[in-house]
Amino acid sequence: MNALLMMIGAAWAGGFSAEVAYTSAYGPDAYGVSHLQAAHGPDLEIGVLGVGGTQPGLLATAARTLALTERFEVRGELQVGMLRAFGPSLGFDAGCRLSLAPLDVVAEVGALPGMGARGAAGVDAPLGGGWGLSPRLRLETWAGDRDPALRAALGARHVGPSGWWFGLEASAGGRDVLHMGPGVAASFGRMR
Amino acid sequence: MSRTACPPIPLAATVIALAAGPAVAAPSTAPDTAPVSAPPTEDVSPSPTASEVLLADGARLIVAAAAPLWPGERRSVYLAEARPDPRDGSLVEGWRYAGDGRVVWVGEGVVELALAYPLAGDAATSAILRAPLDAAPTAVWMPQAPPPVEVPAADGLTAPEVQSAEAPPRREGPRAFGRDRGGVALGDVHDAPFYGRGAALRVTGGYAGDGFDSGLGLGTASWRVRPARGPGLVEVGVEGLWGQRWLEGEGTESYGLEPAVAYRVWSRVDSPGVGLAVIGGLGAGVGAEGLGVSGLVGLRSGHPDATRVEVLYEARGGLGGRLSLDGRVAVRDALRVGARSRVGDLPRHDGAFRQLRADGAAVLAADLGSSLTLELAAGAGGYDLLWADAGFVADGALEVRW
Repeated sequence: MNALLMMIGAAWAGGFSAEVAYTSAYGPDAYGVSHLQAAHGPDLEIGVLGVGGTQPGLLATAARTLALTERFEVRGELQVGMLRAFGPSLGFDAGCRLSLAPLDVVAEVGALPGMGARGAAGVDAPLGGGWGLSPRLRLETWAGDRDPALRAALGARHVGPSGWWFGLEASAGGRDVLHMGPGVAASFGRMR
Repeated sequence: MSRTACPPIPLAATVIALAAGPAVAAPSTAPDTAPVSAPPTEDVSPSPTASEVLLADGARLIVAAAAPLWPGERRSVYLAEARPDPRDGSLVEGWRYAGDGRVVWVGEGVVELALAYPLAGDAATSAILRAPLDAAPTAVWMPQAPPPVEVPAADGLTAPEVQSAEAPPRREGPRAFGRDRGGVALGDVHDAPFYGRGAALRVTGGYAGDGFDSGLGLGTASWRVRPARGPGLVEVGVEGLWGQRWLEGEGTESYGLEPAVAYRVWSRVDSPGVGLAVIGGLGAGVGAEGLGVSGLVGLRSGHPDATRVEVLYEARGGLGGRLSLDGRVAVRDALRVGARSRVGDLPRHDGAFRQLRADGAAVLAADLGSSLTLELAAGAGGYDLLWADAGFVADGALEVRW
């Protein structure tokens, strides 16, 4: 119901993003993520985050982005909701973006008690024609608060003239060389 | 929480296809900054060092660019317009900062810019685009030449010194919460009276189940005021709270239920900010635990009756407390949808029981008229993410304004 209303709201409001991802670390550590967000107003996002797999959860999210300078901006996200077999939880994500044309350097960290912690760093590189590449390096204990896993990811995105965009990402990694697995993610949305 | 490749434009940005005029910049060395220090002139045609694009309504957008433009580059975008010089009243054409744009695509005679705010359709953006030519200068619009600065000469006389056109651009400071990317003040709640009504009577009621017979019923009646100045919102009300809570049993019974009832008067005050507002409140009442006080602290980003996010923590003495995250998107002027999630231990059980529970609900708020708003919320809650153990959550609010 939440997701449906948010989708309706997002479509009306014009700006939204939807993301579906599955990540496996070969073994018990596997999770899927679906995150639907509506964006409206100056740098404000409201969304619903669903996590499935080793540690399922359902949370409401709210994020705010603040441009500290012309080239540097920070983003904070608050997550409030429920995790299965853990109970209520309150988490956050914090990130920053440094624009060094033509590259953007991005970094983010986050933690959600009961689910784990995660951090990522990488760049957004434009290729032309609305296409871009986004290599990332991630360190995470999602989803199940297990040993840290290191993952390398490469994403591609395209922004169309009408504001619609989509992205695909493939990743690989795990806790060690014996416990590695693939990950895929797809996202799309419309900027407004 | 974005885990995949994100588009380069942060958050709510819009892609505007600017497909008219000599769109692609000629080779230049123009800095990517506001040309506030260019020499004064009455006939200021668009700089040949910049890209000029024409909007449908005739407005001219200028992209200060060191050509060629590359997709992915971020450029400051300026709106060219003529306004009276505040010094002598003469009409001077200037560039006004209209936001940051990221080049999405460059084609034959066409450049597509993904414009971040303030050109994204909010009120401030519309005001900028529709600004009449003879409007008074705003804080973000500046004549192209600063006034001369008098500096003492070595021989004791004063000699005028005009600021150099090559003066380095002023570095931008952190953007305040109350300003958008263009530096335009978002205003406060006083600037946007809700249908011109300043006071309201608000009645709320609902039930939050937890799947274990220890849910919580809550009803309030309050008087809400939006002062013309000072605090953004002042509210006082009365509240009744009914529920059940678990307690350790004695003898053969290992546990039992007892009523959790309380009545209290409470208050709430919001600061007037829209970018970020602080919320606080106090209350006092009597409940199953006797006389007690209650408190409320929180933050809000956005207008209270439009798109906004609100984080609140309410503590009700010995009965427990609850943290709530409530986000709403204004999909129409009179319709807002959103999601709400609450975690807490209200009512607090007595004994070794699980205390914390969470509920989530979809929220719908509709202005049925200029003086009437109806809010509805529905969802589920409990101690775990199991549908079998979940209770329903349903509540509503009716606000009558005058």
